[in-house]
Amino acid sequence: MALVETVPPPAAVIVEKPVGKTPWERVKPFVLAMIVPALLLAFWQVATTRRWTRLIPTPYEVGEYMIDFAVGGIYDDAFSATLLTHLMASMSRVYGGFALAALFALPLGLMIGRIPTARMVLDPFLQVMRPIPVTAWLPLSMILFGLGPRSAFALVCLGAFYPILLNTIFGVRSVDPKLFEAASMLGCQGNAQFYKVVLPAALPSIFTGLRLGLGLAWFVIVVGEMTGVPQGLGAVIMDGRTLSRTELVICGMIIIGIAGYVSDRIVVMIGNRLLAWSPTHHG
Amino acid sequence: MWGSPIKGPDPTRGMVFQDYALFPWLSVRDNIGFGPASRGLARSVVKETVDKFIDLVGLAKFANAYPHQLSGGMKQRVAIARVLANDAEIVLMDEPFGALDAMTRERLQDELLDIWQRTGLTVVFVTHSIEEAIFLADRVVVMTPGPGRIESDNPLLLSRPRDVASIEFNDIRRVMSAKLHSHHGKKAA
Repeated sequence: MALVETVPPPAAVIVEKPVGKTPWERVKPFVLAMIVPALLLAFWQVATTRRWTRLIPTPYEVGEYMIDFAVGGIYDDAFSATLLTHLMASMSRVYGGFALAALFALPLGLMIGRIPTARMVLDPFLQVMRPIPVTAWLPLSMILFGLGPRSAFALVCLGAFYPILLNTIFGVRSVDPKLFEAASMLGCQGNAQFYKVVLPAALPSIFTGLRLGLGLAWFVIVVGEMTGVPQGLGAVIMDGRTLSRTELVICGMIIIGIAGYVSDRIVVMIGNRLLAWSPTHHG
Repeated sequence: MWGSPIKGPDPTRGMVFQDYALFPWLSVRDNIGFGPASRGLARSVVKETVDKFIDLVGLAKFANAYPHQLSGGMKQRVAIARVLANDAEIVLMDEPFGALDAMTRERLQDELLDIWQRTGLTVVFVTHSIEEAIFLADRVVVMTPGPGRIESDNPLLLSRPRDVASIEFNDIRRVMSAKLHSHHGKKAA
């Protein structure tokens, strides 16, 4: 009996979806995703035009302000056409703080995951430190790193640190023990197993940690920029708050949301590329 | 083994695990090449070895597929090719079909026999199924349960291909069942 003839077609081939989707199927995800934002926008419109509140501007006002914030030409105040400057300032802190967090959390996580002594020394301490919110660190951070960007950087870094660390530890610890046996049996032993088995096996989990970490970096950027930095989306929101300019606050919120979303999609795309082998890892 | 004591894991003794323990992040090709690559062989030598064994187990078309895209039978073939590519002279299989449904198990048994006949490999196969042992083995070693001692060593002279429904087959099965009568245990082939 020839083996080749008994081979069923692989799942990879079957998975290929038939081409030629109907136009509705193509736009359906987009339409469905727009329902909740549209309802929210409608409610906002009704609430502000009916004067349920006088403190929140109408969607139109915010939209208009957003354009002024982005390119100027409508109000021409201190914030006109400064969006890009603030966005870049925040992005540099988010990605910088995230990179620094990854730089510490990855090796530390690999160590805690692999070396029992390191785990016993560091794990209890880190578990106690973890529940302390970034907001609580704000005063200490300003004392340690001074008022300004360094403090913001440190706080963002702290926010991104724990998800990366914990997921790395989890990934390293949950490698299927059978894979170590298999590697040993095939002649890959000792430290070589770290690179050949532990790292690749932990990669999906490490990747989840990085993704969560980057998300949290965006999440804490406003707190990070409460430290008296002149530029950044968080700083803009804080300024908007002190100046009672709610439209500025809402613009800042929307931009952080979109920037965080875009940055997450990019990470997911990279992940789908790198982790094509993992059946459970498609976001 | 062959006169020398066993000291630890060794590439000459390949192991096929119950769930195959393939490396999920490596393609079929790289799973098979894992052993040779770990031993630091030149890339061209590794490629040559992989090509040879990937053909032998009939998976050339799936060289670049990942384990989660393969059927159980294909995974088994990768697991066997992986140890063969690593110069295994003897393959240990610890209840490889234990968790499978009857249909799949029969198909994998056929595939295992096919590979065995084409390679002349020595296979040590642990199973709880008397029928499986008699269907596959040249020699059935009956083990006692804890401590695992050899209860009896039985050469099987049944001609192949074997028919589980034949009279001869069932005669042997009856004898084997009797040997297991007092101790319920494993058989190795």
